[in-house]
Amino acid sequence: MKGSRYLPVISFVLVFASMAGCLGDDTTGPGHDVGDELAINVTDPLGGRVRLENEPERIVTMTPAITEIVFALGKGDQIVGVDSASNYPPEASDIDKVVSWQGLDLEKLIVLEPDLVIMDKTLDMSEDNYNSMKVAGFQVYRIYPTDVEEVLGSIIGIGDAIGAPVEAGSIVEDFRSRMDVVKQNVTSMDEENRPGVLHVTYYDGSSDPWVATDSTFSGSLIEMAGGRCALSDDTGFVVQVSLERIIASDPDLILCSQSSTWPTQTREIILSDGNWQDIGAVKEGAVHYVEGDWCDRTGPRLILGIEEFHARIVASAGGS
Amino acid sequence: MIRRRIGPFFAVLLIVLAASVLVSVSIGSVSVPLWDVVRILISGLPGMEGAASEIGMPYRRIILDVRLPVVMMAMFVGAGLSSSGASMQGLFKNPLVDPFIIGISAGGALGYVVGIIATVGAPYYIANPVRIVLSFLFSVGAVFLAYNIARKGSRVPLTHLLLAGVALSASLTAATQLLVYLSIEDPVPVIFSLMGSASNSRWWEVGVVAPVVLVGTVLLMAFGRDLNAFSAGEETARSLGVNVERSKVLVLLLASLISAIGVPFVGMVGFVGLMVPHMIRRFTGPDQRVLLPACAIFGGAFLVLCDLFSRSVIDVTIPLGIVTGLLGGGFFIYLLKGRRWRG
Repeated sequence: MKGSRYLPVISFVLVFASMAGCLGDDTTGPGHDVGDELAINVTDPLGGRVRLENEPERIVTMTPAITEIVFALGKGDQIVGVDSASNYPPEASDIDKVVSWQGLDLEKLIVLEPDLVIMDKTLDMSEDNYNSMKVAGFQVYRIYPTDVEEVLGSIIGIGDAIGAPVEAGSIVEDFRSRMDVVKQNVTSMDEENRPGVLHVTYYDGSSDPWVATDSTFSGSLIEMAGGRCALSDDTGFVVQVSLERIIASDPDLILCSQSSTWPTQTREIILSDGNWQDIGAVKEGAVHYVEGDWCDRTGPRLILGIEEFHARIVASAGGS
Repeated sequence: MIRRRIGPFFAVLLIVLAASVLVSVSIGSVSVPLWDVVRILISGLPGMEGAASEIGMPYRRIILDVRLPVVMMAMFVGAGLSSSGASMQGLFKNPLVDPFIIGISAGGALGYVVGIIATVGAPYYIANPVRIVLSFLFSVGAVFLAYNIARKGSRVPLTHLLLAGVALSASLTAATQLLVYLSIEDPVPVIFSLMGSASNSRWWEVGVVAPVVLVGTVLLMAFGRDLNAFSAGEETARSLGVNVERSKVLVLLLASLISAIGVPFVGMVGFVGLMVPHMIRRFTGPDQRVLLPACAIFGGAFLVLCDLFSRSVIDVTIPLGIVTGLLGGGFFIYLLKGRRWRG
């Protein structure tokens, strides 16, 4: 009884182990160079190889940013599976979900029969999902962008992997020219006049605020957009900091992430709370929402986040 | 405890409490010299506004409005949990009872999460009070439910009540985890809040907690004689003229209120109600009339120091519930292994 219950699982594992083995033989066998015949033969930023005989027609994207990238590259109709947070463009919400923060639905992924899975290591630091997909024989392209340059690199890389290199080139070119405008403006700003910026990612008033410090991705956007991070540390993550540290850092501008799917009232809570009233930004009324999906997602709309940060920072610097 | 030693003992406790508060207010992520802290505190007293006039407003704000309410919150919550624990241990005649074991924190956590899910998108000035009220109601509701599960006819055997509380706690905790897992888009801040923290407490919150704890503890002290009788057993208490069922309900109600009132504000801070009465009982003995007020004072100092530890030992604030949980788990094992576990 007990043995028979596990039999399907064991056979399942064996089938996929042998599948993985076959794929390995195909691609790495000696004297079997098929590189020239392959439509796709790329190496991802983490050194993983993706080799496909044809351009992928069934793609799974495992973060909202990757979904946005593939749609922007004109291949959105080839996406057969996404993560649970992918909601842009709106039609992405209707695609089957294969992964969420609760975990990967490997069975569903198998049923969807994707030719290519694109994922971000940031959301799979343990590499559990990556390893289980490799064992199951999937072609997986991984990105791991930690700054804006690497975001642009990942757009180019994904373009190569799905057969849309031209589209990727033009998106990156457009992104760069808009980013250059921002950078040009920033060089003309007075170094002394750079406002201290606090980016609050979550605050409901019941416990300490979650903020992005200078070591975070958002912190690098603030610096690029002409601001100075009010708080600094070396964690690299969004962290909870005590209100006293925020008061002592006295930011000139407070930017609060707002999300369409999980609305918050961070700005109203800050403005109505007596303990925030001595902070320069609050006195000046320089507390604003920013679109969280623009500045958090490492996709093509990141430029909108940079431009929004820049506009707020310029307004704040001009006012003081 | 020998009667003439009671005065000096309470004097020592009060000095410990005052010192804990002062040290705790002096230490934070922004450093303020101790003497400035003292002057700022004095300037907060009525009629003494000038004592710190040359110290910058941000520092006065940090000490008086940011740090002090956190310390006061920890103090009152610690006092409530400890006197609640002392009276419940007396009532149940069981030295391992803690207000949270009978379902108070599990109920409060569930209420908090239900409140968050129910108020998504609601204005914060509605959402936050709803969370607080639901958390409190679920805390008290859990004890009420455990009481009714344990009821046998007109009596409520204390062992049944304890077991009902344990079972209910497990179910409520599972329900909380299910809701967080399924319904909350960004669960990390919610999970962290549930781990317990006095940080970001405000004066109005202290104003809600303090009167409940103070009045509740004083009322519990009025049951000191009844509780002493309980320690000889329910039958003996009855023969000593104690209205057993009525005292049981009232003590349980008061003990629940003074511990449940802290849950919406600081989350799940376990084991304080277990540890403090054991520490104090070594000095006072089991007489509830001395034990209760001593637990209230020392419990206040104890949680103030736990909170100080939680936010000063490393450069991020460790959730308070983790600090008390680590201490409490070790203490529990010590109680089990040691021979003093009869208290």
